[in-house]
Amino acid sequence: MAKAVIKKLLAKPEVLTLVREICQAVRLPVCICDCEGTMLFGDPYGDQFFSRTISINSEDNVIGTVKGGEDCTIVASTLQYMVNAEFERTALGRETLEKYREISMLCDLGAKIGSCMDKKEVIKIITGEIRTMLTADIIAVLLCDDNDAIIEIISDDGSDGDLLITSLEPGELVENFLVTAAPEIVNDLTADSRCTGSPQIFSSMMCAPLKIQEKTVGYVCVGSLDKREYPARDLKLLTTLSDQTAVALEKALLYNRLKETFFAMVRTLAETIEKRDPYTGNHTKRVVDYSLAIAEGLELPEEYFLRLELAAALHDIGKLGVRDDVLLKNGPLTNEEFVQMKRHPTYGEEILKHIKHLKDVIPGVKFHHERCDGKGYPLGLKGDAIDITARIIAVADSFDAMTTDRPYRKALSLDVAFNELIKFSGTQFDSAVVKAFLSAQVQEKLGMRAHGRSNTDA
Amino acid sequence: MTKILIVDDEPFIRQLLELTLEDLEDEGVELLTATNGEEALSLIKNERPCLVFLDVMMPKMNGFEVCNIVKNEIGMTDIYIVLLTAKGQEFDKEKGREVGSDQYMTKPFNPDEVLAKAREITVRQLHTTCKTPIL
Ligand SMILES: [Fe+2]
Repeated sequence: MAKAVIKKLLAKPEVLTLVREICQAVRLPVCICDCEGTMLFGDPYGDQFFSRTISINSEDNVIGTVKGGEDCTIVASTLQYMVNAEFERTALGRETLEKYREISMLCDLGAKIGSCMDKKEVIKIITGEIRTMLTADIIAVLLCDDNDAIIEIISDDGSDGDLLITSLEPGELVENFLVTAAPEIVNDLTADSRCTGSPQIFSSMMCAPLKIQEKTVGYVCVGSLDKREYPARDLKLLTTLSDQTAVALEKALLYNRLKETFFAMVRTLAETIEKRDPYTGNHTKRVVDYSLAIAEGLELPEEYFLRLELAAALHDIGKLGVRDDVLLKNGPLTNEEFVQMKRHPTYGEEILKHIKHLKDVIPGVKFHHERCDGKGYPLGLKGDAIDITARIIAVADSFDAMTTDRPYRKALSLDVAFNELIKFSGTQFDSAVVKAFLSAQVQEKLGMRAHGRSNTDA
Repeated sequence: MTKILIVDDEPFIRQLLELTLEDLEDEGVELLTATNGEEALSLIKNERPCLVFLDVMMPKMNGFEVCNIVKNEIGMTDIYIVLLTAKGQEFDKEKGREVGSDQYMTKPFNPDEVLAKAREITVRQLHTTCKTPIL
């Protein structure tokens, strides 16, 4: 920029006109060159008249020259003045650019954490951002409970968040922060009378509160091992960031509360079916456990587990639609009753389809009585056409049915049940699912082999 | 000479973009500015910048129109065009593709991103020769 400034000035028509008019007033040829001697203005053949060369400077650097007669000082001074003004303008502009960089960062951050519904994720993003903006050895978020006691410390590198707190506790500094709930810079921790704790590891720190609806729910802390002079603008930035974090955290908290309520309702729904069916005592819970263990064995992605859990919990929800005299009948079912009973997966779909958030759960419920050979119900789907959730639940459900007592027969032993699974692997059951279920890893997780359980716990 | 054109009707944005890119001036890149679409178009034709930061919302001729003329009508396809749109106003990606823009950025722009893009394009320019016939 420094080198090009004269050229840029002369590129402006109004500047060029001004310089030209001044030169005419001086009545002698004048030329202006950049620092490399390239002529930017003037008569290239007027050299012989030039008795003076005056340099144009920016700070200590020569960025160009004005050549001409004695009177060329007038041109040089004017140009120097314009160059100075230009540099001042850029200096101001640079400051503005710094601010602009912050604004741009905050906008991005707002978008990033605005859509983030996980508390830890929000904090991770924010601490990462602080890391790029401020100089610090530790950046941590301290979350507290209703009694202002610190319940959780999350640091950006996940390691020495504890270090920060042990270095401050049992000092009063952090407590004081929590009481005053005001952002603060402590540039010399050792000299601060509130630091009554163990010897200080950090020399300087800044704190800004996280406030949700006037209530302080925690702090964003930034600490430096070496003594630093954090300027007020750093604290201001930290405060802006913590305000944004608080908003995002509140959203995440509300969302999680809503999610909890929703799952609690789903579980209640699942329990209603158990209440009606006398033999199933804890059947649903075991089907959920087996299903999740199988999914782990199959190395299915993390985000899939919730869907599976819900589907497994709700797999027999359609039994709510089956008449009591069929569902609770003590003895073999007639053909007509069996047809009734076989409708429960479809009823399940009908019940759940009204709940938008359970859309993904429906296939697992609807198809849990399908068989790989196409002989299942309700549609007679084959192999991979059956949703994986349903294939998993089918194995878990059948296994638990076999290994628990029923009114018409005693429970089978685990080994007999395993053999049944193997026998029908590829026909009734998906062989990959059976294989995963029988794998040592899954068996151990379920405590079947490791604890040598020989019979059912039903 | 490698040139970059900055087009925005807001003087503040123009200056910030210039400041962002000023390091490149020392590396021999020339920065040009235009305050509206028409001016931008004539500079593009005459000065042949390798990269244009082009605001979308402008009086006279908007960024989409300028981009469409450059890329589709006069076929200067090797000019890299970054459309600048204000945050909040949804960028019409379909339209962006239609007019042949190479990329879009939202304002407030990230200065580091802008500088990195400019570096990438100017370096690429130094290594390839201009393929479009002079108009
Ligand atoms: Fe069932």
